[in-house]
Amino acid sequence: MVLIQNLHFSYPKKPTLFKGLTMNLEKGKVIGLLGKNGAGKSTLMRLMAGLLKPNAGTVVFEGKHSFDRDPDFLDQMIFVSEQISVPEFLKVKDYVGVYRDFYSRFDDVRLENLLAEFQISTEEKISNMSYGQQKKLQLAISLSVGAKLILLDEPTNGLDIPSKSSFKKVVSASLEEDQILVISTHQVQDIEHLIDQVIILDEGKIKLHADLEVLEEEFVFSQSGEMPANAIYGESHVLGARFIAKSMIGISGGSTDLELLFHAVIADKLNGNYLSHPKPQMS
Amino acid sequence: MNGISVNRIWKLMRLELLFHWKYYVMLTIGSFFLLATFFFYVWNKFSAYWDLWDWRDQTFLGYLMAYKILLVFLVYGNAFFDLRSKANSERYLLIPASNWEKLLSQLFIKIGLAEIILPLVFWLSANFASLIWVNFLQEIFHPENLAEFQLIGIGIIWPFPPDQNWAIYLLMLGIYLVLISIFFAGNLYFGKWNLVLTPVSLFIFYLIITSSSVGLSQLLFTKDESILSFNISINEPEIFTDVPLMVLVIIFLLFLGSALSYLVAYYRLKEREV
Repeated sequence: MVLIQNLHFSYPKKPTLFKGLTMNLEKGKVIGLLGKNGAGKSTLMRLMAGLLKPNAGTVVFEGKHSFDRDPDFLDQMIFVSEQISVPEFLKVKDYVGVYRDFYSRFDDVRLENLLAEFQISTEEKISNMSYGQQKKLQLAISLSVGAKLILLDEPTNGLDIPSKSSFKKVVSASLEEDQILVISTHQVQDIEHLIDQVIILDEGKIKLHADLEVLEEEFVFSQSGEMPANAIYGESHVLGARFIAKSMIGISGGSTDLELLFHAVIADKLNGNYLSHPKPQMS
Repeated sequence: MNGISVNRIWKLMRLELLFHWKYYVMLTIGSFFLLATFFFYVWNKFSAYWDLWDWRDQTFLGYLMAYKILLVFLVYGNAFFDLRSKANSERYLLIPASNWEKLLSQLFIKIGLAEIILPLVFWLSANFASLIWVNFLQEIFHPENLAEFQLIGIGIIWPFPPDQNWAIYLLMLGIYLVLISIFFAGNLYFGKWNLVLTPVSLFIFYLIITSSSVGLSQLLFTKDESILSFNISINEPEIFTDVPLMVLVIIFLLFLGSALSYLVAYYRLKEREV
């Protein structure tokens, strides 16, 4: 479990980004971290990965402070940055070998399957691979090291449309009950039908932290010829309107429309915690 | 996984060689050929002085010491390559190993290179060059004097012969260790600018120490004389035979400074943010 308590953070000579941010992330969840550019998504990911030091407060995973970068913590966590750097003069098998050496729960069978799904050969030289293929290689590795906390920052940037579909498929097939996967993205369609939980950040604050299951119980995400009177938030389009309304007996709607939800939250029409276990647990 | 793991240090060293093998191979092969070329040049250019020089171990020793000082820059001043770019830093810092393990793996690989591999390259290159010169090149270049060479012994690769006064030996070793540790730690402060900024910092430090000593001496002892005419007696008191207290204190400070540089490097690595 990731526990973030009273987190304060600012970059040098910049305004404070996080001021007392508190949240917890539970095992077995795929979490979508959404927000506009500059909302603090990547910074929060880096704080969880132990690449940045909080000004105050704590970021703890399984009892270890992330910035201590303790080998036990690093063995259970992997972070894939938006801009990856893969040593191009190596073959895939040599690069994979580095991770096999260091991660105690590295799963060769899973890696083999993922590379097959992404159509990457272990004999291939990395310099012959496109950026998208290199990114897929890094994603395959991240899902094979056996980490309990997987942090993917904009994982679908640079992937073509078939690869984005493959990404969704392998992520949902690869995750186990004791793992937490956090995907930071501003491309909400890439994580639809993939995530269990959504966090929407705006100007360093968590505007919404919710299980999609709970949201779908509480709200209706639908569309009709015209905007219903009880809509909390709606957007008109040529054929009518997409809207979010409070769930009522007899009214039901489809699965969570993440883009609509995002706009509703940013417009301050919907916020708060809609979690199965909303109270943060103290370590 | 707590504590320092020799296994992880070994894996980190393998990783360093895997990712940066070009640097290590080029430095090793390049040193061999550059040294040989350098000796050919010296033997051809300065053959007139050979009646004064004796090309044996002792003659090569001076060159080896100059070469080792160069290695402080080229080897110890070029550590932590992976921290020179943001993306590589992320990967390196998040490798499951402790900061001490990462620091020690870098240090061990540089020590192995600068104290074993490259001195061996010097020994090989010097012997190779002398054989080639004597058997082939002398006939081509016709130097003024023909050289008498002796193959140099492998013992030359440790360039501080212990038959000297032990205090001098420790003093030289201390200076060498301090230089190594400062250039090594400099990688974590200055990154790719280490080879420029560390010497500049050392020079500024030297100026501050010298000017403050001169200034204080002027204030305390030589008010009526030139600011450079002051005397500090460094030869007394003598603690051991021919070993004054001042030298002992300097040796102690050099070894302490070297150890502290590694501690500073560790904290710098530990606090590294990307």
